[in-house]
Amino acid sequence: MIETSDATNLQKELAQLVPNLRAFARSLCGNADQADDLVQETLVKAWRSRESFAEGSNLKAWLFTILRNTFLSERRKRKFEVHDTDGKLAMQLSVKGEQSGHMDLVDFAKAFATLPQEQREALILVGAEGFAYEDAALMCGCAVGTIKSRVNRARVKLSEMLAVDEPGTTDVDDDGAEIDSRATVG
Amino acid sequence: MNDEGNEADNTAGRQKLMDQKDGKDVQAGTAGAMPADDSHVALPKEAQGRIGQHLRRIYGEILSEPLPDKFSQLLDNLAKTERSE
Repeated sequence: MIETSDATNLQKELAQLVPNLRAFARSLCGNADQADDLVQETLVKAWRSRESFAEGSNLKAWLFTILRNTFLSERRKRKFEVHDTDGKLAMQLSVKGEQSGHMDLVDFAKAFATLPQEQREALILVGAEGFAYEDAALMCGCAVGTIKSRVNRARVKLSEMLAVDEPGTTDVDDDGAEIDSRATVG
Repeated sequence: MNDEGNEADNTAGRQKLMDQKDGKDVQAGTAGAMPADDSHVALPKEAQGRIGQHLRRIYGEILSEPLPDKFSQLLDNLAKTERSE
C-alpha cells in the first residue's frame, strides 16, 4: 500500500498539473465544461491507478495519456460531440481573446479549431507543452514520424488559413487558396 | 520562440517501448487521404515561430485561468477516502 506521505505528495503534484490538464482537455474537446469533466475523470482514474505509475517517470505525460484515452473512449460512446471541423466548437480560449481584443488570437483559435483532432493534439503536445516528439508519439500511440507529420501539417494549415484571413500581413501568397479545394466533406 | 528546441531536451530513454507501427495515420478520420510522410514540406522558420507564439500565448491564457474549487475538493476527497480505507 502506498505511504501516506506519498499520497500527499501525489495529491500536490496532481493539483499543480490541473491547469495543464484543463488546457489540454480544452484543446481536445473544445468545450470548457466538458473539458473540466474530463479533467475530473482523469484525476479520479489517475488516483485509483497510481500504483501503476512508474516512479521517476513523467507524471504529466502519464496524466495526459489517461486524459486522452478517456476522451477518445468517451467520444466513441458519443458522450462528447466533437465535430468541430466547422470551427464552432473552437478552443474556448477564443472567448477570452475576444474580450481582450486580441483579434489575431481569436482568428488563430478559430483556425486551430478546424484542424483534425490528431493534429490539434500533436501541435499542443509538442508546440505548447514542449513534449519531445518521442514522448508525444508514445502518448498518442503512434510513430515519431507520424507526430512530426501531424505537427507539420497543422502548422502549414494554420499558416495558410491565417494568411487568407489577414491579407497583406504575411509573405505567403495565394497558396492559401488550395485550402478550399482540399476541404472536402465526407 | 523555438519550439523545436525541446526535442534536444529529451533524455527520456525510460520508455523505449516504441512500437513503430506502420507509420500510418490510423485515425485520420477527418484528415482525408493525406499521406503520412509529408513532413518534408516544412514551413519557413519564421512562420513556425509565429504560429508557436500564438499557440503558447493562447495556451498560456488557459493555464493562468483561476482554478475552480471543484478540483482541489475532488483531490481532497480522493485522499480522504484513501485514508479511511
